[in-house]
Amino acid sequence: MGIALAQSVTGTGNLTLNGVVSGNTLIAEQSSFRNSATTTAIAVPTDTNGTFVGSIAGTGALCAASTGASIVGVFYAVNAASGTHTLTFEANSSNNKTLSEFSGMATASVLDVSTSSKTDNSDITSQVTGTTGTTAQADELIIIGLALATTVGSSDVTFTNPVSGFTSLNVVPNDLSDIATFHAYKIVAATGTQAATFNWVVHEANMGAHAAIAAFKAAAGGATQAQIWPSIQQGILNPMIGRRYV
Amino acid sequence: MSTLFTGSLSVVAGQKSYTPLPVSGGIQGLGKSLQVSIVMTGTAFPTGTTTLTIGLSTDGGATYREASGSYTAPFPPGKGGGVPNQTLGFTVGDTTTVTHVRLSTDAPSTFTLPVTVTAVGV
Repeated sequence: MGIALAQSVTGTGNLTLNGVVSGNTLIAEQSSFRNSATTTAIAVPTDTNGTFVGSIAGTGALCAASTGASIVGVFYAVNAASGTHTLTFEANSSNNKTLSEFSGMATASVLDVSTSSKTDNSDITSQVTGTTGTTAQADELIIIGLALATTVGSSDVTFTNPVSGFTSLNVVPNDLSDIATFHAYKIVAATGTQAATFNWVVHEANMGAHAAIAAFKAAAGGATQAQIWPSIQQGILNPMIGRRYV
Repeated sequence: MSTLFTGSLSVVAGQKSYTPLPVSGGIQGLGKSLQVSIVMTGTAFPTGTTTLTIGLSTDGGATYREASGSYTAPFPPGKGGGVPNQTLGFTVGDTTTVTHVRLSTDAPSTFTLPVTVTAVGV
């Protein structure tokens, strides 16, 4: 069985998922605006039914002529306990959070590679996540996140949605009275480096953007349909291979 | 994106569930999940912690899968200095057609909460 999204909750408050299946992986993302020049990493959220850890290094971006900071965090809990998980997140001036449950994941050493990238106090319309090292295995879950803020801002920065190849989980385009936010995922079936670029239209001076990407391993034997199909075709076309399954 | 409900919830102290909202066919789309989102006016929340729950039913409202957000007011000023609106969204990964959405609250006191509930296939 391959990787699959089981459920996802988004919001500005502390978040609760019910009915989590034992052994699944939980991924939490938080995009925040701090009304100060504090760019230190977002604190790891606490879980009433497990333990989360951080999955990216690096600091947030300065914005609004260094009177504010925009920052994203990506956290995970491997081999989750069954039942209800309530997460308490770091409080900031503005926050958007996502808590997602994925099945088909490794139950140990699930985090593979990750990185983050930022732009301070600039007039920009895109932000790269940075490029990860080469992933260790073919089947992996790729998580990306963005936090974007500026001095004044717009109620709709007009994101390119979705980011190419990804499925959006939480998109908040408002950097006027909120932290503009983009959380998304994709499932890959081949090894390689991973990177993504967030794009938007509305821009001004002194924007600060912080983007992150993290790759998580599937369970062993978790081949995707795309990988299984060529094997089936080979078995059909080659009777010597097909005979093994009779 | 389709709007399922725009109006106000008459929230009471303690727990309350509201009349389920039917989800008309075609919103979710074949082979897609349904993402339900709620935007709430931040200034409406009373002091203390209010919990809002979204339930999604795929069996005509007999059973619901639920997720929650908790909101502790008064909220600190958001970006721009105002009281930020609050949000909650819920998506289940399977593509079974969602038939009903149910909201529930657990609040410290009675208040009126303006909300907009939207749904989109993702």
